[in-house]
Amino acid sequence: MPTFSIRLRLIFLSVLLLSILAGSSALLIRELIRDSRSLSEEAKLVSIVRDANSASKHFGDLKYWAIDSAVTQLAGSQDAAELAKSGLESDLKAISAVDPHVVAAIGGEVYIMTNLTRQAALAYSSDDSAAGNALVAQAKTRILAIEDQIDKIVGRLEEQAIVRRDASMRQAEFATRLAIAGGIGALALALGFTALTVHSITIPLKQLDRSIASITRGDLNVAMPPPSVPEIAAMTKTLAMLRDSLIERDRLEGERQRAEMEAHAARDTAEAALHDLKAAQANLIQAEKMASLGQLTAGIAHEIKNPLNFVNNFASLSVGLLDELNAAAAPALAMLDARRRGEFTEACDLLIGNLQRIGEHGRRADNIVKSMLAHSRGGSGHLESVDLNALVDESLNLAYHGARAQDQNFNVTIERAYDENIPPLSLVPQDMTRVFLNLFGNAFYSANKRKREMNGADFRPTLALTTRDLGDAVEVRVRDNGGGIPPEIRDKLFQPFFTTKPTGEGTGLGLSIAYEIVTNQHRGTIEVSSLVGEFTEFTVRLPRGHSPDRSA
Amino acid sequence: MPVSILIVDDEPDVAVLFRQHFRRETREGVYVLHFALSAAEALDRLASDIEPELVVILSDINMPGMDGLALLREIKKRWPELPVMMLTAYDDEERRRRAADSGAADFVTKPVDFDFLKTRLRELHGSSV
Repeated sequence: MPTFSIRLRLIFLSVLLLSILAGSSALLIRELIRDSRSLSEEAKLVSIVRDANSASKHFGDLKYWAIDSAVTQLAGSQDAAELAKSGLESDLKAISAVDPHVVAAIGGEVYIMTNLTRQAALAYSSDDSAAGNALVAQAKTRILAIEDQIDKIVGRLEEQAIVRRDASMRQAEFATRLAIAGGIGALALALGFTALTVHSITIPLKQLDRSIASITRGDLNVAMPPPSVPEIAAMTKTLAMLRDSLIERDRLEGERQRAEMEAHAARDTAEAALHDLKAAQANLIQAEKMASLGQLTAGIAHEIKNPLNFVNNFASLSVGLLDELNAAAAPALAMLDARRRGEFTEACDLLIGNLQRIGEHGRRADNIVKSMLAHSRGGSGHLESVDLNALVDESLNLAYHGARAQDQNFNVTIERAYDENIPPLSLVPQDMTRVFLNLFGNAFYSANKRKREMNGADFRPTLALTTRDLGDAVEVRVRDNGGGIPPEIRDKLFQPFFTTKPTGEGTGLGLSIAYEIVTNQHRGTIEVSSLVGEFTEFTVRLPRGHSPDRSA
Repeated sequence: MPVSILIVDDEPDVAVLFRQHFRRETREGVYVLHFALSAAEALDRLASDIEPELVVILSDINMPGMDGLALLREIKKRWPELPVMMLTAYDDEERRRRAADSGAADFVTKPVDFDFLKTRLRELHGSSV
């Protein structure tokens, strides 16, 4: 049954139901036929019994009237006897089929009996009473025998009729029971098959309905009903196609979203790369600018150094020469009057003063030139394995005492946070010390300048010093709570000769040299962050495991 | 008995400077100063005998043409006993090392501390003063 179509199933069910109907009807008809047959036989038997009873009655009339006519010889009796006899003969004829031999024997006896009565009548008419009586006696014997025979037949027929009637009743009862049982059975069978067929159709339909509902809800992870019925299988196939196309749609949607996300990620990566690239480019440009500025600075220093040396040398020589001049001219001067001698001495003193000023400013210029030359002097120091914390701390002490020496009122709170796990670092100690001296000096200057500007308000100049191991690099942060650096000049901080200090206090080369040393010589980075009125923080990062560039 | 010093520098004013600083010594007959404006000229002067006896050469390093270090090597090749002091405006380890490696007797930075220079000169030729 699994692959039969619904139409076939319904046809099959109809045929089955009709068969059941036909079968049960046939059974009932057969029983009815049997019943009616039994009834007709019973009716026939009843008629025979009636005929037998009629024969018995006619024989009673006959024996009476035959004896009477024999004795009386009356014509009326004679007729009555004849009528009874013909009635008896007709009755016997009717029942002869029941037992032909006995009926024939009864006919024979009747014939003998009537002959005996007729002979008796003749005897009586001839007045032979004795003979007549003897013949009547014989006839009476015959009558008894005939009565006995007729009673036997009637009894037997009545018995047969009773048996037949009982059988008919049983047959009718059986037919009734059979009709009831057959009806119930047929009904049960019909109901059963109908239920089975309906069930076989509705089960896959319900499964299909559940699948449809599930897909409608959006749950595509649903099993399809088994293909048990071709019509439903077709629907199932369509539904499965729908489900598969929905799954495919979802998959494509997912893929589209994934692709979109990937595209987003790729775009973000590209943008980040572009951003990095721009930053790197800016750094490169800055580094290039600084490098060319450094070279220019060094070049200028080279060119100025020699003439400046001459200026300084000749200035100091000239002072000595003036002394010699004074000594040589002393006798002549003694001969001059006081006013002229005074003029001479005044001019000499002015000349000496001028030469001293030339020497003084020459030395100042020489200091600037020396600082400028530091740009070209990178790499002159030796590479050593250094404890960075110790180096920083040593530089801090130097800077602190330097500041104290310049200004007795100088004071600063120092907060140290050293990472004790920084391994020894390969660097040029003199140059890195120079970097830190510069940063500390600037920090001290800035913090104290702010204190002066606040005119005794409650302000504590503070320098916070942090070292940190970053894994592939180490970091030193120098933070002061001075006035900060305005954003517009932050770009110029590392340029040579850029200074915010009054003329004569700063060369503008400190950070420029620090930049040179950190960036070119040690391949590190130096950055500044600042908030005006809050703080300035310089961050120096030095790579680990990188040899400083000796050729820089 | 005076002795000679040869000073090699491409700056002509170096001669003026040295003459003034050594005015007393030249007047007193301690030193006779000779000047050359290039390494080539210095080698020429050395090839022809210098009177009185040359006891030391002072040479600048940065010069056009043959520089002071090349001159130093050349002199050490030809007159190994002649002391050469290097003068330079640039005081750095690299130059000092190279000068010492090439046999320089001393390394003096500009601006020259003449008192120090005179002390070193006395140490170099000893008995002359």
